[in-house]
Amino acid sequence: MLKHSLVWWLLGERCPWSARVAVLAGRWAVCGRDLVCLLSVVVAVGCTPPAEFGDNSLEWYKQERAARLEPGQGFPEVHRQDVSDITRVWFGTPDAPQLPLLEGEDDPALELLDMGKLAWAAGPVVSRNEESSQGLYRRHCAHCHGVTGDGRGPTSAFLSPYPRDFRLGKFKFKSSPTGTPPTKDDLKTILVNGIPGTSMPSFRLLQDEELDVLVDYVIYLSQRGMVERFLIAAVRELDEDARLVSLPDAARLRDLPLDVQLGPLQRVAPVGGESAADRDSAADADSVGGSEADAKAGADEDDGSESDGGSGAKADVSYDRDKIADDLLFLAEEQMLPVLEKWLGILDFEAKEVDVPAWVLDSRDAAYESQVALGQKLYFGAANCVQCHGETGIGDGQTNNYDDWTNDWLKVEGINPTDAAAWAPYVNAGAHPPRPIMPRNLRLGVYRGGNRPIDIFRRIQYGIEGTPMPASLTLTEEQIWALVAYVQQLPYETLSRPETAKKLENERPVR
Amino acid sequence: MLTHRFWAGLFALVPILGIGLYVIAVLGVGSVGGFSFAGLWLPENANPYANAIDHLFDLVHIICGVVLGVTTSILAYVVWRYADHPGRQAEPALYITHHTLLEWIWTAIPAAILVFLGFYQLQVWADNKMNRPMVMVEGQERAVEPSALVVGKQFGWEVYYPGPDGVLGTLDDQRVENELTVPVGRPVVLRVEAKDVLHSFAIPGLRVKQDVVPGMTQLVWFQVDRPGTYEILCMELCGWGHYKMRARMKAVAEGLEAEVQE
Ligand SMILES: [Cu+2]
Repeated sequence: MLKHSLVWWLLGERCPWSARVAVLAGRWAVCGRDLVCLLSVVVAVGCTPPAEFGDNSLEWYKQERAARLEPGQGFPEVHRQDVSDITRVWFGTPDAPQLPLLEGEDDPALELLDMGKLAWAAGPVVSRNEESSQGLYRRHCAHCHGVTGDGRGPTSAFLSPYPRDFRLGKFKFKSSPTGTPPTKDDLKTILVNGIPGTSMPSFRLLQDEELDVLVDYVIYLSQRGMVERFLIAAVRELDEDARLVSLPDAARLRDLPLDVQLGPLQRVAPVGGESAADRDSAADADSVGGSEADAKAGADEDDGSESDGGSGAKADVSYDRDKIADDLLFLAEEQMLPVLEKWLGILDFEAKEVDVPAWVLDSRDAAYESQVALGQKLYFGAANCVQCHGETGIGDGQTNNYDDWTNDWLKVEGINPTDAAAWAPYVNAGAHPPRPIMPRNLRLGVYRGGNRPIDIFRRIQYGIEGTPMPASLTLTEEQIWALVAYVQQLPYETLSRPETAKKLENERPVR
Repeated sequence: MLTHRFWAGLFALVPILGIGLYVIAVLGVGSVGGFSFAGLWLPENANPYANAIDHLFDLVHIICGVVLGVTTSILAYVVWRYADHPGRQAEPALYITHHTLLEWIWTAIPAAILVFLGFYQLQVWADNKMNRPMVMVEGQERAVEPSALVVGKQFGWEVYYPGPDGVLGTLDDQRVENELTVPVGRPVVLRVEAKDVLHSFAIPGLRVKQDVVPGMTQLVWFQVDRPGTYEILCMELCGWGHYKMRARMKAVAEGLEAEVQE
């Protein structure tokens, strides 16, 4: 019986089912005791460690190159540990999401994101009730977008275009201007409709609440990724031998008591959800300030990472509490608050109401002909759509551009995209092989941001963030609508029933 | 040692379980350890065109069930009867290469059943795949025109309704992802297509199933007699996201249709 309880205690936290099976099997077996030991070893080996967010190794590699370090040399390992520890303390783990809160329960971050929703989206997939399951993100999204939201899930390499990497904080299809994040409604629209012409399917069959949960989690992942990128960039700015947080030698932030790790930040226990993840983070939250609870929190951390050197190392660390708190406050203000403020902007944002002119889709309208003619003039002239979308609108203009997610390392580092040897190290570091971004074929009726006139209007007005499609700063609304009408009247050739391109009446002679 | 009884019992499990599970699924009552037997069978049919399909489905199942029961029971009996019983030596096995009469029997009976089914279902096939429903328009009988276009793609269903011009397949079509709305109580014709690979457009609750092939346009028709929500599935393995190809069909009372589409 003692042995059974031991197995239970050893394994129950991490894999309650495996422990139960091991104990039952042990009871039934004739040679009980030996079998229990054997089984517990087998089960312990087979158990997966708790999930961790992966490092942004691409950003690390990029910054190392930008710092002009010798080839093959990187930043000292402590920096990676610091960034990983700080993001972990601030944002938690894939099983127990957290938010960095400077103002506790009054923090504006809690207006933007709901801890209960994050807890519902996070963690492994287990059933929550008859209708829904816990771990919605890993169930529906992670296999393409990755657990970290890096767009590098197992299926991502097979898709064209690649799945979105949320960590740059850029989103394409939204009702807000370039440079501002999408509203929650924008993200939800994408979930409901999918993105036609890409591998992003429609999640219309999910419950409305589940969609809200996923929207919150995507924003959370995006914030986390942005902050991580800023912290990595901050490492490059450091003086030699300096660290992001003032700790001696190779001491790790994660080995310190939780209140020291958090510094000026606070944690708020998530509400709702009953997963193991919630229990973990609730325990963490309780432990702020209490020494006994601190020890427990520390022990929890150790379970997941054997390389830390165990609890013995921790006791030796001498550190300056106030200095660490100062460092963390500085980092939070410099690297985290700008990200949060950017996202908080969406709470007040209201998309400008636009009336769709009646003539846009109605060829019988008196204004139609002249508007289409105006649109054509703009297409080839002032708006210069022709440069990328081509003379006939099939998207055969300039086709050697790259999107911002690729240019983030490709262009910044001045790499020749046709030189595979030059970009191979970046691909090894976690980038997808670069692919040029193709201008849209305007004659398929497939528009990724939606094919209603208002959708096309928005794309022309605000551009498509992260792509060469620019915002139209000089066009009037009237002119944009003329362009919408022109684009909409181009010959229609669906993919499922292709026709040979009809000669356009208004086509210019091809030189 | 395992006796002839054990082996015969093992063989007897085939007809017992095979037919037993079938009966449990059809009856749909009871549960084992929290697993309910309800809903194992097809949902109740709501499509009057498909009553005949259900009838054929049942007929084929009964024929197959009888054949399964008889043949596997004989097998179990033979194992029991001719094995080594305690105190009785089994006769040596015979090696028979030909038996003309037997071969005639096991060729002719299935052939006769097949030919019978082939003729018996002709009208059902014609009603569901060839004779499009007709309506009276201005005193003339006309085939019902497709009210929506459903395009299967990896991985989802695009539904197009005619736009302001009232014509399907033009640029002003209204697109909705993964949701189809149809009126109840009158024949509905849909145009079904595929964008990339083979898919199969299926509504189990209406017994509708049509493979869709890229480059081919096909029509399916049905009538929904019960308002409500029905499941649309892809029933042709079409890639890694095949399981994601679920959509919803809403059957609404006449008049509400336009509202719902907005
Ligand atoms: Cu399919």
